[in-house]
Amino acid sequence: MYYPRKLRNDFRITGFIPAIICLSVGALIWLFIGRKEGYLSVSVFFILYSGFSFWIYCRTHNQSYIASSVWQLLFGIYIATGSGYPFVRVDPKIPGLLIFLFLASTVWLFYLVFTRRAKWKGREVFELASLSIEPQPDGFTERPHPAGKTEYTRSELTGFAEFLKKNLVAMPYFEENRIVFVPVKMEEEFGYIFNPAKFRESRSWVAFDFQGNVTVNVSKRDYIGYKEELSFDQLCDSLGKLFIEFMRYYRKGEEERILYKLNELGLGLTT
Amino acid sequence: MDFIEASKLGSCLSKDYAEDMFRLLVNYESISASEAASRLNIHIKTTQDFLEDLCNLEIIDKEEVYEGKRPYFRYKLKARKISMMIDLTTLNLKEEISDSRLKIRIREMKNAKARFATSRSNDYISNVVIWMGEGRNRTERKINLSIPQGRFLFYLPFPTAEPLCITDIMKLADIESINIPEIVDIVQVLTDFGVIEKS
Repeated sequence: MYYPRKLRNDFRITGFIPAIICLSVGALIWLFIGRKEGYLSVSVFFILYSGFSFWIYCRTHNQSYIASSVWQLLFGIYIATGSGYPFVRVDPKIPGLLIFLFLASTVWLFYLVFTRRAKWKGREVFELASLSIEPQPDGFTERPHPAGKTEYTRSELTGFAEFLKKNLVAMPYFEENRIVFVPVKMEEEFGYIFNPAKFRESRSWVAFDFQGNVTVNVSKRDYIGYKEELSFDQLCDSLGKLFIEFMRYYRKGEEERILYKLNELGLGLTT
Repeated sequence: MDFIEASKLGSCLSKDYAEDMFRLLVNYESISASEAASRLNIHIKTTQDFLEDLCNLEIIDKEEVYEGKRPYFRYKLKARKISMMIDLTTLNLKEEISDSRLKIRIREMKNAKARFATSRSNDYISNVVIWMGEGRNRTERKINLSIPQGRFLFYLPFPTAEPLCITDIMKLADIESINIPEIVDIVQVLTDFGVIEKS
């Protein structure tokens, strides 16, 4: 099914910056110091980066980050031991085993990437919320919008929050009387990971309080991310209804439908 | 005594020379503004204004007399006691609020130069900051809201939404009819500031 795109294209390359830095540093060291040291620097970078990926996994519980962490660690160890310039002398069987594990983790990682489990789905959320919204100018206001009331228990809400976090749909912020969900777009994930409190300040959110009230706030930053000025009240209402629908799927045990709906849009894997 | 009269009387009584002036009025059979001014060592215009205010409040009487061909006023105490009683219930807007006012359909004005801050519990608006003027002359006015007002504004339709009448918004916000006067008041204020539009 074809869905017209309402969001502007995003050409940021934030996700590739670590790889670009790693390869550039490795290449410079190779050029100015030596080939062996170049390999060493890339190896160290990958091993450190695997620690960073593991840290993100601890924050999100998304399995693509544990897969990345394993892949990066194996790649770093492989460069250190199995390349033409080994820094650590190991049993000759080890590099073979490493290659096997490395390939297995590559398959695992690619599977997660191509099935969109590694994708931050904020963009999908905003596209889905705006599907049937007509353009109407001058509607923006900073006020939150009461999007309605729905039924759930506190434990269901907590479980829902864990589900959305694990699948990178929206990151939950736990407050005294409610849970606030902030959708994070691809290429904006580092902002969330490094400073979640600051990240939230200028972002859109959907809040579920413990009495069943749902409130929505669409930030100016996200609103101007649309190609046209959409009817603001309809957009807020639609975003609220979308999350209420997600909650309904979750309560019925059909949470896979949430991911299906988001993935059905067919947005790019890196945007 | 209505509130306007009471506020004028309060203003007179609050003057630092008021007690001395009343002492003169009690002790003199009649006194002119220049006599009182020279006696209390204050400006004659100040004295004249004060005595005129008391005249308007019917606490003193004035009589026009002539010194040669020049006329002037002499003031004489009329009331020996002053009592101030204000019926605050007359300030209640409820009686003035007709059904038609509650049926006015409203929504937030497009591009309203206002910022709405939510409360800590995030279920009502705690204050509205309105920007007035342009450029360097821009000033801001902050209006702190009562909880019913904040809840009302929380449910106020967005600028592109269909306007709703005040009673419908009150139903959505679960506001009791006892709060109608304060709701009507804030709607009026925000309409005057161009934050709410009526249709």
